[in-house]
Amino acid sequence: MNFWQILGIEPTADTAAIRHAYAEKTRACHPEEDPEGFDRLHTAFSEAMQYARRARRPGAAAPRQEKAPGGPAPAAPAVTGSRESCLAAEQAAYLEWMKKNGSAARQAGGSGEFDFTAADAGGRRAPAREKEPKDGEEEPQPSRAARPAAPPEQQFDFDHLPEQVSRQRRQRAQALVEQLCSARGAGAWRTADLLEGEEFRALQHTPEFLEQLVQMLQKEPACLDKLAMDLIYAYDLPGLEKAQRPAPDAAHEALFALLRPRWQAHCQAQQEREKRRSAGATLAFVLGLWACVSVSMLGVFNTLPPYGRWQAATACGALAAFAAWRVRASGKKLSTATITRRCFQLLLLGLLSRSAGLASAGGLLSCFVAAALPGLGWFRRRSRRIRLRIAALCALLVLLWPPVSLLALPAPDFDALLGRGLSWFAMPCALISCVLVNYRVTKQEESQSAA
Amino acid sequence: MSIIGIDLGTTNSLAAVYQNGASRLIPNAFGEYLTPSVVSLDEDGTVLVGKAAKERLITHPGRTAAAFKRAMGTAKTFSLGDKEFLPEELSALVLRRLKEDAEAFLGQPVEEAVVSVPAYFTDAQRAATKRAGKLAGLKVDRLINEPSAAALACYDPDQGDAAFLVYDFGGGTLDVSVVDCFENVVNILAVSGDNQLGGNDLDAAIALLYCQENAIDYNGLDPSARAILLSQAEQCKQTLTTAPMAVMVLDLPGLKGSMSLTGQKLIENAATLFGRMRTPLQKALRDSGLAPRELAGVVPVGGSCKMPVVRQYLAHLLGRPLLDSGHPDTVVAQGAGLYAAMKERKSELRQMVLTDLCPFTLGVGVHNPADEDNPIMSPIIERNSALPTSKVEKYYTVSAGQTRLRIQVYQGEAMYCADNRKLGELNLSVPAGPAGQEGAAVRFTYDINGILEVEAQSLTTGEAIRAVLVGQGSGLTEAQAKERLEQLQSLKIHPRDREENRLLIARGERLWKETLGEVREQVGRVMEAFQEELASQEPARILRASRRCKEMLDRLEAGSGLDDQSWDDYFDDEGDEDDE
Repeated sequence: MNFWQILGIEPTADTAAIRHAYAEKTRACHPEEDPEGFDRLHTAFSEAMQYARRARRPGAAAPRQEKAPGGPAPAAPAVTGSRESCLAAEQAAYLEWMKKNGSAARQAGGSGEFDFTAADAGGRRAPAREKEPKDGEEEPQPSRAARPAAPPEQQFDFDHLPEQVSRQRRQRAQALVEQLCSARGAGAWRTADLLEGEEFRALQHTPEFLEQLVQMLQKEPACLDKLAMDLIYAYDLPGLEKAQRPAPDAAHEALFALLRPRWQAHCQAQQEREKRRSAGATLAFVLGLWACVSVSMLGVFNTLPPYGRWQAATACGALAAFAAWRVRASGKKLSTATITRRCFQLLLLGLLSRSAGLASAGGLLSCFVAAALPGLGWFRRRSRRIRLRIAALCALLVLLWPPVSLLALPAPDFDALLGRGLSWFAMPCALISCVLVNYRVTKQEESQSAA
Repeated sequence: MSIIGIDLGTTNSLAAVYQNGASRLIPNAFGEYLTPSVVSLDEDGTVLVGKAAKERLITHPGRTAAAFKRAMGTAKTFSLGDKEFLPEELSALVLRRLKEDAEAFLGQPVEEAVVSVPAYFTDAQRAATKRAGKLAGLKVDRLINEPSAAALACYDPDQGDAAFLVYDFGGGTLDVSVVDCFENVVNILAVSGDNQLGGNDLDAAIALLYCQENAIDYNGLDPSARAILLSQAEQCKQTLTTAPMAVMVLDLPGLKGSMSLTGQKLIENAATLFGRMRTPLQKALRDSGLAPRELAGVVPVGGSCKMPVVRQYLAHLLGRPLLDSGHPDTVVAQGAGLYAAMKERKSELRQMVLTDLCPFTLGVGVHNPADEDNPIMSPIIERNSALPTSKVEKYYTVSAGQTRLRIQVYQGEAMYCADNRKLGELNLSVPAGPAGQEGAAVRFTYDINGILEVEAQSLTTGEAIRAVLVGQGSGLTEAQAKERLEQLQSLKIHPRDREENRLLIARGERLWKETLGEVREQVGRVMEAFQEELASQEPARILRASRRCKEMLDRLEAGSGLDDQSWDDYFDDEGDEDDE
């Protein structure tokens, strides 16, 4: 059932007919008695009115008018179309006028009233300002309420209202700018207070305030030094720069022109600091890694002759350190905590394999991988089913490892016992960590809302 | 039993009832229609409402509350003496007074009412208004938007079709509605407003101007002095309604000075307020899709619209004539009375249909891929949808294996949920599956009583949950709310029949505070004599004395002073009574 059927009329652009049909139908489904039916009817009514209003658009109305004399197009919509299109144009022009009037851009000498004839493309209607409608047919019928009240005797001047608003705002802006300027001596918290206050929020984007702020900042460089960073964040300059959006208008641009060099300098300084810090960290990391890997490898290669063993271990360490350095240089960041953890894990692994021998090193390595897995982003991104499978695999290893280690490490010397004990400890750890991560990730996903 | 219509205003409240084919206003104990929305707590613990309370605003600012409608729906409390009141409790006291007046007028108990609220009231504010009705012992199922009520009262079906703009500028709120009336249908096309702008702001602007001109520190004034200043500013504003110029003179310590005010001067100094008056008008007109020419005119409603400055400003902005709405002060109450009758389905009004709007957008929060902590608002019912309405939208899971959908309901126009008002939350379980496969249909039903029902149904399992969201309370639990209700009911309210004498005393106290020197002394003497008569407890004597006292106070307030002759009359008369 389309909306014309609900209204019970043929498709038409005649708003009066649509209204009539709607009014008739509301008797049957009054909102008090049949809310659902009324909802349906009202939706149909709005759609129909929208359809009729489409004819208002000048673009839609023009071709219709041309067709009217030749084709069998219904006469009513054509007439309505031209009138409605005038009204649409008028509304657009009126809103435009209101906007201009508000922004104080109007010239002082200009007329204070909206010229309704200018927007009237058809030019068939009397100017709205005249009290007596010349074209009685098209003017809405005045109701009881439509009797014009007696015109007020006094005449007020509203033409300068935008200027007065602007003047008052200028006064407030001046006071605020002065406060900001004088607050610079009293400590940063005072400036922050002002910048988070109601007054600043109300005036922040007004051209008057921006203008005075820029003037003040240009006049007093000391003030600029003090306020620059606070203002940068208050106007969200970083966000704009990041999104590469231009300033909303010229007044903002003037302020941003002052602030931008500061922000860039700030960014550069921060980058340099970051670079210096990361250079030191990289050096420590590479050296640490080299030492750790070398020691671990000494353990792994304990079957080689001593001389070759040292050389092989150091070479492995250097290789690992070089690889790590390349990774860091390529921009991938590893947190200090991760690095420390990995180094310790390697160290432990090396010590263990030294005592347990090469044969068991493989088993221990798998333990290590299982323990490290849940901490990886890769693991978290898997679906829940795959994560569960990995956890199950860990559980299987936990069950298998004790008999395997008993078989692989028969010698009851102290080192072997220690290694075995520690490795038994590693598997349940891996399992617990796996389960915990699973739980946390699932919970996180649940808390996200739908899209 | 009739349902009454109540206009619960920021400054004045009034009630109306539909009788014999017309909406009739209900007079209060003084025979007046307007009851000031002011509540005061007497020293002995009785509650005063209305005119007498308004007089006490100056003499006992610490025990009197006004303009509490502005704080509706918030947890802000007003302290009257040693008691704390929520805004809805104070409103309930006003409603109770109106109910009593209506019962006296109709001669039968009144149990149900339709209360008008600004169209731009939020859900929480509406819920608070309903609670106020409940506290007053009235069943308030239905609220009506003030401009809609005004449109209803202004529309006369016999006069044909018309579209007009209702500009409801009251004491504390501004509402703009574009209305299309045809064939017994009153169709609201668009609603807009500013619920923190009203005549009170103009008073404050005048008071501030006075302080500027006389070098007084406005912020440093004590509450009592400020109340005097504001009441004088209000009088000055009211004078401007009839005269081209008003003079404000105060002769009290700390407030000494004078200022002359013209309409033009007010425009210049309150330009910001005039600017704010324009914005909702523009918005409503844009939303309605009508050109100014299609409007028959502007209907000015509300006390502030009586000012010539405001009327001319409206005509200037719209280029359309102002229409005669009868009495701007009472038209809303009349509309509310009509609507109450429509709700009763009275046969005379069976044909009338009023379609009201939902003034805000309602929607749910959805995942924002760019910023996971900052969900985006997805609208379901857009603002200016006609009521009742029911809309449904489908939403899907974000991540694989997700088993729960969190549906957060928001109200507001901002893009991000954080900037909108949260109404409630629902959790729906869905079966696990790949991202985007599982989902739910969320249906919002906003009914004619302004109650929002949310229903979420899983697309695959058909499992559904629903919740009725009413505005969040002021953080009170059920038990606390009950306790407060009992407390409120235990408050003694000043008896209606002795209201007049209480008003005279309050008025005398105010005059004494506002005047100085000889006049003050005279006021003191009049009041002293009156109190003595009151103590006699004889109704006839009290009646005569109160009439006398009122006359004297009128003369004193008019500034004509009392000569010896009138004093003699006063005391002679009483002497005669003593002899009788």
